[in-house]
Amino acid sequence: MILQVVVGNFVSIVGATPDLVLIYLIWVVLRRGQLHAELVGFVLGLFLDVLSSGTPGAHALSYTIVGFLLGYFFNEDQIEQRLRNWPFLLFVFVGSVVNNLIYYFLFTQGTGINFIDYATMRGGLVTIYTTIVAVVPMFYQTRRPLY
Amino acid sequence: MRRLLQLFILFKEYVVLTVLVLCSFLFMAFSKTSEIQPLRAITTLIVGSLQSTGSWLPNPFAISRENNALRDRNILLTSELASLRKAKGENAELRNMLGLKLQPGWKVIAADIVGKTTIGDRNMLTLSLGEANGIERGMPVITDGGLVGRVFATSNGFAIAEGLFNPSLRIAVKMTRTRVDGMLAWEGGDELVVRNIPKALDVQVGDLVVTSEYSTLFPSDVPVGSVVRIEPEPNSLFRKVYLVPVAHPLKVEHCFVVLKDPKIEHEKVLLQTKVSEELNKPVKKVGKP
Repeated sequence: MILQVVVGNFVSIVGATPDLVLIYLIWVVLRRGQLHAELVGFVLGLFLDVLSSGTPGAHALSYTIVGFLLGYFFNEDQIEQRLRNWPFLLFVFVGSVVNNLIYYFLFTQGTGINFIDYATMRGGLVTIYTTIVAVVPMFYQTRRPLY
Repeated sequence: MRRLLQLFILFKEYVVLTVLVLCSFLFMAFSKTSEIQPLRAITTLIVGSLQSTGSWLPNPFAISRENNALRDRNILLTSELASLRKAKGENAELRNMLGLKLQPGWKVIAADIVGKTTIGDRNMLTLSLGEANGIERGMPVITDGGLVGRVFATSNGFAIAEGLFNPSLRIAVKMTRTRVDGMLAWEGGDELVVRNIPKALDVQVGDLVVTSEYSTLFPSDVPVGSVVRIEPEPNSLFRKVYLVPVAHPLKVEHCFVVLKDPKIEHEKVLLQTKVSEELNKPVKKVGKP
């Protein structure tokens, strides 16, 4: 959360910043499961909502739903395999797509912004960037000893 | 009771999801109230302190962007200075001739930008000043170049301002050359847009756009941007005018907060007008039926 707020802008490309909160949320999904992910997603989302000038509750809603949906794929026997390999990136990618669709739907309501165009262009950029940045924690997990 | 508890344990993920989704919707419903302002003040203080601590870290991208922008601006200002000196003399002479009063200067306070945050496509600037310095919610933020945004959250020592790239911001603007009025909005990307400009009105690429006297949020005549392209709206008599802001929130390092709240001034004048109208109303005579 602190990284997202303080460092996020330093790594911004074309105005898009990687969603570090989402990467952490996916880590929680794969490590702790559905219930934890829902709660963590809601709390972190709410913090972002309060911090931003946007609609309070929009981030909280999107992160909660991402935590709930991806939580279905939680498997206690495959925690380390998923965190250390490409499935982590796949989870981040899918999570980012779902999150962007929900968030941008709320974000564009009542404005002249076209939801489809915006979610495709902007959401696509954020999703790709977030997935690329997610390689760093994945490699970090890989280098950690298993036991 | 036990059965109910068992059901809850069995479906806890769904129950929690329902509760959290409902909470999110409740937050959305109360978004316009001032109930979340104390929360915002606390987060502003935390974020401001964090960003202030890390503000000594150089951001090479931002410095490079700022340098380029300043160089361009320097060249532009040098050429403009000569013509403005001449115009100043002429302007003073004409004002004297017309007997016009100068517009009172806005009281501003300089602030350092200790942090920039992008959350969900909203650019926000953390300012080094807060309520202790007289900063209040809604106050406009400007630079020497033009409008940057306005303050939306404050704590004692810090304030957070939202930039122009914000879907909820609407600003009444006008073209300086032809005095054409319009409503400025942001529809994504790096450009701002003024919609519903009739095709018959004269707007050209390069026209400077400033805040209008109709704006209750910002002082008038503050530069906002310059027109870069004009597109007709399909099947209508209007067109869209796109402009780039003169002060890009990501390139700004220092700014000024306008301490005078134009909205309050506007409402004060309206109130005075209402009071004087009420006072001037003829008193009804009470007579026998």
